[in-house]
Amino acid sequence: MAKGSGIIERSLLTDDQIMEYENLVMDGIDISGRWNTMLKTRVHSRPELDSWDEIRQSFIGASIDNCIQCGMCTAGCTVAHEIPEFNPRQFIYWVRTGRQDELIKNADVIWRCVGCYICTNHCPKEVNTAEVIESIGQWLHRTVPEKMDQAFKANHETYRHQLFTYGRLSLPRLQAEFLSRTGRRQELFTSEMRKTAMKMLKDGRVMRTLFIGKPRRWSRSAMFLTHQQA
Amino acid sequence: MSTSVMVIGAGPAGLQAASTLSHLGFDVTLVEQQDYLGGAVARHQYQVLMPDFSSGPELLSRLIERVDNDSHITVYTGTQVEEVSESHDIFTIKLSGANQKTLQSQAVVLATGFDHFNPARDGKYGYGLFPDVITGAELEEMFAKGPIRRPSNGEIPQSVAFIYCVGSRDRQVGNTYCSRVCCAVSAKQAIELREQLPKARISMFYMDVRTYGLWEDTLYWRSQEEAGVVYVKGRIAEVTEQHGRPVLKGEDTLVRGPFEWPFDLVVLAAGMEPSGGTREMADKFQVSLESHGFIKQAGAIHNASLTDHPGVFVAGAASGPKAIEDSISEGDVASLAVFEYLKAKVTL
Ligand SMILES: Cc1cc2nc3c(=O)[nH]c(=O)nc-3n(C[C@H](O)[C@H](O)[C@H](O)COP(=O)(O)OP(=O)(O)OC[C@H]3O[C@@H](n4cnc5c(N)ncnc54)[C@H](O)[C@@H]3O)c2cc1C
Ligand code: SF4
Ligand code: SF4
Ligand code: SF4
Repeated sequence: MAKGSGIIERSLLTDDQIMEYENLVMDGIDISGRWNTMLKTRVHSRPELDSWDEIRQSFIGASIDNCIQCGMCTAGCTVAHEIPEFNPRQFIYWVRTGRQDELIKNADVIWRCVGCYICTNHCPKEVNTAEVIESIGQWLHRTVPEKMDQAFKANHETYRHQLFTYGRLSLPRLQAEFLSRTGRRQELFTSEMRKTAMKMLKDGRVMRTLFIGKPRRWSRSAMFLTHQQA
Repeated sequence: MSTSVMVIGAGPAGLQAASTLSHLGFDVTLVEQQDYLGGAVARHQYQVLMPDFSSGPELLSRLIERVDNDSHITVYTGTQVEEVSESHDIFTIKLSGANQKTLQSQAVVLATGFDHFNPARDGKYGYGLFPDVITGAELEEMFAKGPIRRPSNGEIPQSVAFIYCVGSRDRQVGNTYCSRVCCAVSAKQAIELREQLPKARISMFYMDVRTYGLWEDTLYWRSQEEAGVVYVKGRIAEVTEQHGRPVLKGEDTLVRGPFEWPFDLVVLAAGMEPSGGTREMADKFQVSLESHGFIKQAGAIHNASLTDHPGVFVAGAASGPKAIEDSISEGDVASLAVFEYLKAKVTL
């Protein structure tokens, strides 16, 4: 039976709020199944603020304290209109009120941001909202990498790896690495892909993108960047 | 020679200052650039005043009659200050316009007031583009002229939205201050609207409701309890139009998530900015402005009317957003400050 199925208005609760054990014996009394259904307390009592400090001290997250919680960013946000859980204003609020529990629940959702900067453009307080959201995402990535959707994680790591290795991004390489990281390497060899590759070979894009070379003395920059990362 | 004081600007603050200065024994010249007296209250024909729902026209006629019937007050309307020079604490002031004269004054009160923020400057509200988006001042004019109708088609509005903080509290438009009266004025207007529109949905879109002090229950609560006005916490990001109705785009930050709601009539609670005349007079009389562009109060804790130029005083909205009651009080405050300043120099 589904978790908490005996609860009236079950839709108002999330799974993690419900405690229910298939087999439970207390004081010698068997209360297995529905009998032991309990709700976790919904009182939040321990604000966790280290994430706030990390984000406000980061270069891209520094404007977080300008936020007045007006909601103009979410009102215009490309993604919020499609995915109700994605709410830039709310992410900022959770950071400042120490609600790491809520942030972690949305560790996967936050990466849905498409980087359109509508939020930043709307903001009446000059919060660079798009970049603050990125900064919160990075914090989540460091803190709970396992919570991130695998595809998003692979995408993220592909970009990072390509940038560090080559100092620039090229679409074919990104595509190839992303597909192999997600175990979809065979998709590289579909007829559609082959057609595209031929076309790009003919019009010279393959040559241009593959053999364009690294930025000058890239290894030194890469070393510096990797050092910063560590 | 009698002692003469010039009051510049004949809104509530200037009218009060002129009358009180005359009671204190000075000869007063009241200079107003418009050809009518009463400032913003006259310009937009406020009928019913916040906070006490008293009559705007009655207030004006009381203030204006006192000035008109006072032989120690000379009123120059349609007149501007052209040139100012100062020597030995005496200002020589050249007037232009309807009264081209040069006068001498021992002290000056700047009561040059505010301008409404022009919402056309901020594209997101569609003001000037959509006929059913109007300002609070235009709503006052509608109250004065006749029944409330949609400008687009003359129909009775079934739903009215007020958008708070238009041109205030916004770095993007450059006004980082709160205009102080628009929350309370909007609540007052919503209560008035309810009398005319018993069935309409009336919604206020706000960031904070600043009906401070005694206005909390008399305006904010009353608008909800008696007039059934609904408050939605979220700043409007954009107004668009669909099927001939303005659509408000915002986030309801309390339930979270974006909305797009159409309304028949949208009222922009446009804030206050220092008037052009305020900036110009500050320049001519060499008084400093504070960081938002209003006249800087040099010692607000001692006396609200002191500027950093001895002999030049300020009253009303020229030194910051203010309600009528405060503007009128400051007319008195400035008069007393003039008295203190001059009593050391002359015997009345
Ligand atoms: C929509 C709206 C509704 C409002 N309703 C209310 C309300 O119900 N109750 C309330 O308490 N407050 C209300 N207010 C606020 C109220 O309008 C102000 O408090 C009040 O008008 C300020 O008075 P004032 O004399 O300082 O300035 P003003 O009323 O602005 O008067 C200034 C005068 O100075 C003149 N002037 C300016 N420069 C010069 C110059 N260089 N030379 C000569 N003359 C000059 C102007 O022409 C004007 O006549 C409202 C404000 C808004 C925006
Ligand atoms: S628009 Fe700016 S101030 Fe408003 S909630 Fe978003 S980040 Fe905060
Ligand atoms: S940049 Fe991201 S958070 Fe900002 S509006 Fe675009 S999708 Fe939304
Ligand atoms: S008084 Fe209210 S509407 Fe006006 S600027 Fe202040 S908060 Fe905004």
